[in-house]
Amino acid sequence: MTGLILKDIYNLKRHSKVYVILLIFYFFLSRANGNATMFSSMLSILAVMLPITAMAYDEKNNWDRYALTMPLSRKDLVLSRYILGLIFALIAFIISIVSSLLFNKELLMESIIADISILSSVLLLIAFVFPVLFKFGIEKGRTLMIIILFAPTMLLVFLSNLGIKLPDEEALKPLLYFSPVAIIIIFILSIFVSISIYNKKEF
Amino acid sequence: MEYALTLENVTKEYKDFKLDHINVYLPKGCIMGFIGENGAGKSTTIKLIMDLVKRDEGKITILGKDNKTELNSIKENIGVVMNELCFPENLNAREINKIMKKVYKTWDEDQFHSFIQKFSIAESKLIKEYSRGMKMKLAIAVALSHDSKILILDEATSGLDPIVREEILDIFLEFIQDESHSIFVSSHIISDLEKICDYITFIHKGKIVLSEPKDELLERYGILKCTEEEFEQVNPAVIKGVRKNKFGIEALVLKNELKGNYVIDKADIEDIMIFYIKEQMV
Repeated sequence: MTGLILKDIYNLKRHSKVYVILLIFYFFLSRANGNATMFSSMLSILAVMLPITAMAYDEKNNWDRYALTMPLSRKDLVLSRYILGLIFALIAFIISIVSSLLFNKELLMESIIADISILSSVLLLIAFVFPVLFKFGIEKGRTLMIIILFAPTMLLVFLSNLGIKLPDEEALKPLLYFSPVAIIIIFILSIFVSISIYNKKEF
Repeated sequence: MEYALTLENVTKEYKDFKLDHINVYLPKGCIMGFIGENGAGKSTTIKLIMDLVKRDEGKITILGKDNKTELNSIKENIGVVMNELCFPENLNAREINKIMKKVYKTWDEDQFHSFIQKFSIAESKLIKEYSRGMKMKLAIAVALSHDSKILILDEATSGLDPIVREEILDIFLEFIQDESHSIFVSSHIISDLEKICDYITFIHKGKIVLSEPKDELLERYGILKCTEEEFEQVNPAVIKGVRKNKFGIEALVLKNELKGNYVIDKADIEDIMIFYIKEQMV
């Protein structure tokens, strides 16, 4: 398992400069605009994108069928991807918390809540997208992935267009306290779904 | 006899292709060449052996263990080379060594480094810059740098120049010096296999046409050259394949069962394969 994660990190390392430059650029951009969410959004996009990029490389080079001839199980291959996702989500979270503490002292509470909600959305995205990617592969799963990414926004726009009033902040608050548990449950469920998809897969 | 690999009545059906009740027995200590034209079912067979695709029927054992229930217990002892190098392309040999150290308990770093040096692969060169020959060499280095007792290779030598091929065949012969080691190698380059194999298994359109010790095969078959009149006198039971040209007839025959005074040339594995395929197409 460690070997698998090591493989992804070595593989992604080759592009790390681009990502770092991108982040620095967005950091200054959001400082200049006084809009911290811009930077954290970029962070969270990267956190979802990187593990998917690693999977795309694996798919392109037929890594999985080769890895399965080694002392690695199908479960290892699925779990390692989720762990990689978790690692990037946490790194993104830590960076955004640190930047909140350093540069957003006036609105610290709000900004930390924003950071937590970004972490949650990264985990939710992974939970919804990964089973699709395991089922259809990156190439074919790409369209579906985009649909999943935009579905919540589309739904909100659609509902508000219909004149349905969105619940106000006070009504949503209990949801916020409940959400960590829900997210953990969804994440774990997603792992089980992916494993069962992957066990049926032929190479 | 102890077998390194057995396939019994293994069947797998796809929409447009069927691997039909194939039987293969590779004795321990031997090299088996698995030959057949492109699309004959070689890669599918190898995937079935490694349980990458689910079989519909049959039983497979590797090193005496069932490949469904006990595969994980023997993966340390299996070295597989696919028809390409499947590592993500941004890695280099040094990183692959570090990764494999975590994957195989029996990973032998010194062995790996000595292969890399022998093959003159630069440790920091990225895989995507490798030539086809280097990729296959690296795959073979990985397959041999842990406690492999059986090597399973899918078209490992095709697309390589003769010098690299020769090097790789030498490595196989070195590996097989240890009598507990075995090799199962698929290829459509028959001359390679003819040099090193003890057994030849010939697959055609998803069926095993023959699977025998190479020497017996070469001993048994011959190419009969004669005129059409002469040919009509020959017992049809001994004829395994016919090729007509304007100078007369060439036929693959069981030479020991052919009575009479005929001109019979030696048949090599390639002749046998080509005659068999032609015969099936008629």
